[in-house]
Amino acid sequence: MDSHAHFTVKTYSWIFAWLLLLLGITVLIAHYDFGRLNVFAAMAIATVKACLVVLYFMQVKRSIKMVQIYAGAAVVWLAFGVILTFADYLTRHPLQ
Amino acid sequence: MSSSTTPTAGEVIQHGRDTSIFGMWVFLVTEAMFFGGILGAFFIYFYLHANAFEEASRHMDIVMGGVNTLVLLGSSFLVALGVHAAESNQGKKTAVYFWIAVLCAFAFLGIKSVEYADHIHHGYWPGQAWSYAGVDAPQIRLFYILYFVLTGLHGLHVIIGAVLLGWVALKAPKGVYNDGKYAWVENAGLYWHFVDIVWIFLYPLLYLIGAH
Amino acid sequence: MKAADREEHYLNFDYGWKSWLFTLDHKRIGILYLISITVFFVIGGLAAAMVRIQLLTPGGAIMSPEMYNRTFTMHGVVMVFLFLIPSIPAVFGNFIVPLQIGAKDLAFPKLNLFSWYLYLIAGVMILYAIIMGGVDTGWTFYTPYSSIYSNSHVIVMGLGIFVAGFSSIATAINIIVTIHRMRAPGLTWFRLPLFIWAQYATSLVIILGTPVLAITLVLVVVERSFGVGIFDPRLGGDPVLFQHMFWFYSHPAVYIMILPGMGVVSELITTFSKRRIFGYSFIAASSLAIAGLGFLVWGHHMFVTSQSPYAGMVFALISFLVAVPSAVKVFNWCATLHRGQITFETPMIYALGFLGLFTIGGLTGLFLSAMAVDVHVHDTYFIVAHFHYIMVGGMVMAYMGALHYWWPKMTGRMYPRIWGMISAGLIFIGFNLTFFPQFILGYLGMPRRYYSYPEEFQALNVMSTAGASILGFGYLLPFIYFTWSIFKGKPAGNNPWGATGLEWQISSPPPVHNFNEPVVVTEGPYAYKETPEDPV
Repeated sequence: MDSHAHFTVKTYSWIFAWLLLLLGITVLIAHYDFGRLNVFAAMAIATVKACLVVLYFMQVKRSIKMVQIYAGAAVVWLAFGVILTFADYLTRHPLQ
Repeated sequence: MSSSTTPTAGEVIQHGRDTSIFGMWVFLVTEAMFFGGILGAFFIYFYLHANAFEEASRHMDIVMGGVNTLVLLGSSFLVALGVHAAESNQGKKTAVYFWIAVLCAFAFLGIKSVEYADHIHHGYWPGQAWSYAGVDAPQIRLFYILYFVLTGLHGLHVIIGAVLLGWVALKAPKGVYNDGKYAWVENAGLYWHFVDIVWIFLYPLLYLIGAH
Repeated sequence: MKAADREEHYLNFDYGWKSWLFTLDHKRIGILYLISITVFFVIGGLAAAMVRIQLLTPGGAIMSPEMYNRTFTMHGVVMVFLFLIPSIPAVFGNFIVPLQIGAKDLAFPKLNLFSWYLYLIAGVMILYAIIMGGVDTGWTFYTPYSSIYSNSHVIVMGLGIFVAGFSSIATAINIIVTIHRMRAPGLTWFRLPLFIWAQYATSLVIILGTPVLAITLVLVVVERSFGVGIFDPRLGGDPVLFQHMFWFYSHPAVYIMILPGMGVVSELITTFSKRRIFGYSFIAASSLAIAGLGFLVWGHHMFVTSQSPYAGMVFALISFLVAVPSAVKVFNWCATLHRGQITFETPMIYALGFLGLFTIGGLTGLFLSAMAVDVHVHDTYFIVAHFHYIMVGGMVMAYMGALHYWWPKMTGRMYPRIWGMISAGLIFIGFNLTFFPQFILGYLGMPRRYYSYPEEFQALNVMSTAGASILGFGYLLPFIYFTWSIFKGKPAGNNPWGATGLEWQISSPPPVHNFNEPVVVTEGPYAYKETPEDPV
């Protein structure tokens, strides 16, 4: 963490504004019926918001490489777990 | 330390700070996997019982949940500003921002308590007192179990985060975090942002899936 | 190098219970762990003895079915969570990692002490559950039996395991951060001993997997405490989802249990053949590959559930793949031995035993990865034999090897060589006699977790129990000679084995702050003098 390269208050304010905007979009989209897409859209927007918090508020963009790798690893590992578990449930064909 | 490249005092402090922050991140990875585990279970059950979950979600108060989301996002913003202040030796400012964030935590928990009381009053507590008897009642009950466990665990982390923020806020005005020694300000902030991120995912999943 | 201060070291610089119970010295914390996990090893071993005695006769010799269920559950829970998982990381990870990287302690000494207290709390909780009557679900706590129907102390035991998980995570955080941030100047990643790579990979697995076990146990505890049903089919829950979540951790957990042992074996084989390791970077990479791939295979524990066979095929395929890095290691160890100047000290006997027994365990694991085979031998003694070959024939032997290797460093004393070798031999013989018959029993169809069995299986069961007695005696001997060595053992000196490695450059026992002079590293690990035959 280099003491000459802090994020500024201006940057933080912009990020906060984006977070509020994305929250508004999430709530708006939720009121329309896109079927299965609704939850994917909501999760996609939530992911973007989380990335903004991680990169800027949590300063991962400026952190040492290992912090960036570990933050990424958590996401990847969760994906492994969810995807492979879904691989089971999506391919079950129970007797009707 | 080898005699050929002795680090400066500032480099030593930075090394120590980066080490401490790295340690907190490794811990946050475990927290992510913890919440991720139960979120994964929620996704699976939502896939299996989409209609029931959407119906259950309609009984949530979107406004109260939304206000809570705003509260947490705002507190995250304030905490980021507080950390920024500590990075430039302004411990008193850090304390102000962090104390307001603690107030936000109380507000969040207060609203959550009102919601919980409301659910229990309507018979949605999934224990012995469950009294919803409409269509898909068993799967709606499953939604509520996951809701209470998810928000309960999240609430516990809000409390822990508030304690961390408060502890830092107590010490910050004394100047102990000056001159680069602000690792614990950053760490308390990291924990709080994590709490915020969990809610960023919980709000749409618990409150908005039935909104259409 | 300046003669180390032979008078003062980490054991004698301060006395009294407070200097131990409030210590922040990684070496003392390693010793504290050594004592506590040994206690639990004995408890788990007693449970095993009871199981083997019960199985001497087809009708069951000493226990009711309910008691038997609680006994094998106790054996599994104690051995997995209170012995195997902490073992090498908490004892030797704590003691040796800072020494091997030239650091004066771990990155977070207070967190280290806290991890030991968490371990103790977990141990007390689990013991309490056992004393109050135990749990009869098996260490795997499958739902809905554990969450709804079992009339046993699932909640306390589940919470105890939860706390043990935190202890594990605390140790892992310390090890990861220490290895990244506290290496001595000149000690680049590819100059690290392979023990360090193994500890690192293990800690990665702990970080990524243990929290999922934690949440799974929380859900079971919630389900039991509040009478709500997360895994209850009547509510639309799926008991198999519990298994997905449980095995997402518990399969990588077996890699938590074996990777440190593999790290130890790399140290032992190089020291006792006085050769550089063959294929250093492949072994290092294999540790990471095992850690990574190990997270993608958990469904192979669920082939006979309602898990879809298509998912099963994916899990089976990746399970075949995860065997490859382990095999790479075995080949590389063998290549290291080839044309080495081998000495048969006790640690080497354990390392060689590991090579053979881990290979058998690993190969039988490949058989089990094939769905078609697993369907027949799942829940039989074939599985029991498979994992005991890896856990006991592999990991416990590696642990004993580590203990016999680093004992002189930790205590400053040598144990009697001949007794060490006798004990290792008895353990090897006793182990095979105990568990090889179980492969046959499983293949012939004897189910596991049953308190009795058909008469035609008695001969093999008696053989197995006889082997267990020899094995138990083999484990008993070190208690005697290690204790003896503390008082009467020959002083070890800095480097009784003539090994490379920073831990052997300092006194035995080490000074309080490890290195009295700053450490600078200029060469790679295992830099033994090359012989004329050495092709490298």
